[in-house]
Amino acid sequence: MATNRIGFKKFVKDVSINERINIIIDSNLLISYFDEVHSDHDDTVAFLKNLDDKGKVTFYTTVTTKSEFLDYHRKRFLTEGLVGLVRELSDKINISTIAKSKIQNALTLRDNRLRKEEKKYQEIEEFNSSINYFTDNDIKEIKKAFRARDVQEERGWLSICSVFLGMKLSKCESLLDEFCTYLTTRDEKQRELFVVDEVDWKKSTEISSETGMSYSDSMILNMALSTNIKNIATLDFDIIYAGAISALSKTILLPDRRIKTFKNILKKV
Amino acid sequence: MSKRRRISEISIDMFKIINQKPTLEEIEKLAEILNEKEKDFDNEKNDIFPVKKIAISEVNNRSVDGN
Repeated sequence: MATNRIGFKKFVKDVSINERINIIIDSNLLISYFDEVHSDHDDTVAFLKNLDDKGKVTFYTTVTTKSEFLDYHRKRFLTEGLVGLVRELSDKINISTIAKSKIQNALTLRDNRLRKEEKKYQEIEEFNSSINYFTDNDIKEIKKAFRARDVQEERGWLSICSVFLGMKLSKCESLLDEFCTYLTTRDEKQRELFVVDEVDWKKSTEISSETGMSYSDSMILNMALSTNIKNIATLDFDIIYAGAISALSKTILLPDRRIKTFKNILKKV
Repeated sequence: MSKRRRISEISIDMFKIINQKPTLEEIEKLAEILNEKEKDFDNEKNDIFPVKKIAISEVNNRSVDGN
């Protein structure tokens, strides 16, 4: 059976000048595009930029992807801000000893995760950039250290959010809204893209049950299957795997250097 | 379908936002709020969880438990 997977470079090479291309992109692709430390950053930038320069491309995605992208940046901006409080801003801003120690603890945990990820990178050349940032749990612990100081008036934590997240997140959202078009059956202009009247979300559960993929990934795959958009660009192993099982009518685009690895894994399917 | 700028142009703006640091004014304002709280916290009158009260409740708990 022919594979439905194509490398980024080959796909771009086959696109004609000014050809209209519709493509669904996932959150990992967007995240790697905007985070230089992600191991696929260079491949993703080259792929999306060359494609955009050559064809007339619309990058479709879902609101689930948008929330994943913004959530990644919420953690990124908060981590950078909180680390800044104990490092470069420590001479100007005097936070409590307990808050300092919570941030230091989160940093130690982060550094441990980073060491493991760097070891993995040496073996398989994959680096998950989210490891660089505090987890939700880390952030909640730090937040408590600020909250406990004045429960009735949480100005300390709110001010931190205002300075380090504030307008940044909403500006990121506006730019992402320009970058992508969100798939919806509610938009009359998108009617021609859909092969169904309404997206049946129960099918996401079926897709998730079939391959054990995360629900957010199965939602994007289900959305793709509800449209006539042929191409799905992803870095996510689960989507590539499920693409070989549940979405054979679609073309899965992935970094060229990963094709061989996936071929070996999916040979057994 | 979409009439948008080139993604390379959008990316320049996105990276500007991503790499944006707080202004000096924002840092000063944040310092004012956090440092002021530090001062208040050191003042026992403003401490809503004073060590004495916590210590007393511990003793009471012990009495209630009969230990």
